Amino acid sequence: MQGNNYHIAQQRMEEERDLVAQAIEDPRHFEKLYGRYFLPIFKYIFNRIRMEHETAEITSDVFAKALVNIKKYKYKEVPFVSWLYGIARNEMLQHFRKQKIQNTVFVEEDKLRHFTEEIDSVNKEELFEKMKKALEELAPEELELVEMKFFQQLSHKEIAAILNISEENARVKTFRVIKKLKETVNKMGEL
Amino acid sequence: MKNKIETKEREIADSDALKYKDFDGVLKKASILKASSRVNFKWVGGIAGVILASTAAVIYFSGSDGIFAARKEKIVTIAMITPDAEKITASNNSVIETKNGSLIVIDENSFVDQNGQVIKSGVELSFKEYHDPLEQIISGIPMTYDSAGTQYHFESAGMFEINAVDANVKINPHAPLRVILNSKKNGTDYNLYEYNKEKKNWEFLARDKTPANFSKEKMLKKLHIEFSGKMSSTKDQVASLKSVQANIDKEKPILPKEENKENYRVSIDVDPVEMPELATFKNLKFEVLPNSNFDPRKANLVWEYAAVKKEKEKYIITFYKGGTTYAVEGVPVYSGKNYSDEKRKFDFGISAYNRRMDSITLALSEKTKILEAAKKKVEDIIAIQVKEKPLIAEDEEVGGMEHEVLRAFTVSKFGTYNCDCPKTLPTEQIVNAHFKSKEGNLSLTQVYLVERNNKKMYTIYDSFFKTFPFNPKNSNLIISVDSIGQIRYFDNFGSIGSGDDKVDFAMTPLTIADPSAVGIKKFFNF
Repeated sequence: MQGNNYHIAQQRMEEERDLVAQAIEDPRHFEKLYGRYFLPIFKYIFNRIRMEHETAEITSDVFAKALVNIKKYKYKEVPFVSWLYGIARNEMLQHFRKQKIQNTVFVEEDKLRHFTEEIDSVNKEELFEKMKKALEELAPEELELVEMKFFQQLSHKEIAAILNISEENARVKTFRVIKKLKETVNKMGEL
Repeated sequence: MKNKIETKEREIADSDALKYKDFDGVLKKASILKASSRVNFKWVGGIAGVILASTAAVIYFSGSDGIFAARKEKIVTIAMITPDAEKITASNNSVIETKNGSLIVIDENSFVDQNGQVIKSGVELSFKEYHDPLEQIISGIPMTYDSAGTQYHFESAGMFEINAVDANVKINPHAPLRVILNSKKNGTDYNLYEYNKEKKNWEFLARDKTPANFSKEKMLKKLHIEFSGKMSSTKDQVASLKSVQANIDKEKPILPKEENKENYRVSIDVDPVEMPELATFKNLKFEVLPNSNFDPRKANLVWEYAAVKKEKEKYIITFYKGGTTYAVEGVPVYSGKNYSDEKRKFDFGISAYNRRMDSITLALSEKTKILEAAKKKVEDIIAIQVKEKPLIAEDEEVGGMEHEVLRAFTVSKFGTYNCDCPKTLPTEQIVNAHFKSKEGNLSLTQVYLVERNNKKMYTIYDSFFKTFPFNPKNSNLIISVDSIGQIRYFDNFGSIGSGDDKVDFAMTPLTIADPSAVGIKKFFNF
């Protein structure tokens, strides 16, 4: 899920509304939206699942469910892809529950380092390992917020759309998680 | 459950992800989802029932007194019955038994990462087996094979799919896996094939050399002999290398000190076999250690001869005269004129020694690894044999199990493998086949013809529907999967129509209470 792909212009969003309307009339028109968002959705899922075949299967389920429920899509000044991310998120949660798999977040080392620097730019090397441990201790929904905000670089508006919460709520929740992370890391330092 | 944070190096490449782009598949799935959310109801005995169902449930109401018992039979789609793959934790140097009794032999270096680096920690595998026509249909993998322009139909003796759970893991082609499939078919007419996903075709690997009736017991014995033989020969090699290593160690040169003329010294010829560490040097003397309890008066005696021997890293010089001996500890010293030449000789000798020692230590370490690997495999095999023993005894009581034939594949990359005997389509009877549902014509791209008596399966593509071939002497079954994945069938027919006759096959939708692979196998009596 790349920030650049995500922040699409207003004009493009309106174009998407037309594509959604066409897909409601004839499912074959959904192919344009499928083509546009296949890669970001596939990568979003692969980032968590790390298995190509299973990712392909879940990605296909996401688009099939989106197509079946396309009438339910409501334009909320966020791109259609955020609605897809919401479906993908639910599908992955189901997958983890069904397979009894540990909630694993795969993150590029650079991004984790960058995130650590944002938290504390002075003791970054020492913090890096502690930060990994602190992230592991978070509740899954808290970790998801960190993942979306800092590793996938989504805006609060986009996070709100995916999690079906208000933008303000997304902002507050993110702030609280960061505060909690800082406290956990500091406690580790005291031990 | 605690979270796990793993750092990764890169994203999946676009080209790798795009291989999975399949809009038709999405449309098909969406159709199934739509179909499964429909509401079905029936009138029976004057009772109207409207049942909301989250799955595609056909509800049969019975009884006439207003009280009904419901029996739910589900329309079966392929998506419902696709079995889960078995997850296997594959450690290096092991023989693993799968749920179906197949064996996977893994070497020390069988798995590598994307950079070709050996993965030492073992990996997670997913493993799926397909043995009967139904399982092959579920797999969705074409069971036809094109060779020299002729299409053959596989009569499979077993098929399997093996993959790593982590897509970054590969099989090391230099240390391939051995997958020994617990096949359910005897016979010696089979070839081994690998499925090429890109070309959507099977590729011939080798002729299957499995002898007839090659049971699991025989396969385990064969593996036991192979690895215990390897263990025994490697053990000998290790012993021999250790002995060579000990001998080389004896030859490690020592650097004699320069002689100290203040000390008492004696010239003794050294036997190079007994003291190879001193063999390099000339002009050697043995100097009596000043701190040894040497009596200087003894130096003034005339001794008949003196000899030196090594005892626990010490050189003991013994003087003899008549029946009298006198022993004292000494050290070899250089008594020549150019000590630096002697030192160079030592440096040369020690570097030759190190080279020999390094090479023998390396060889020893490699052989020890091989020995440990063979030992570990033998232990695994014995554990499987112990587990199998009561089963084998049970089989013998009932006259042996037909399906206990094990077929070995060398697997150098993850994918799908098959043990098959290619057959051509039956020729006994041809009809012009039309496939119908209650609603009218069925639009099918292919159907599966199963000969029930011998469990042979043919994939008949729509281009062959007008000349649909079968053997009327068999009990035949046609299975189809329509565009929304629904399974239909036409069962138990022998002679039907003739020549160019148009024959309508009314395909019945499969509706059973247990829409699992097991339930369907039971239904079709596979």
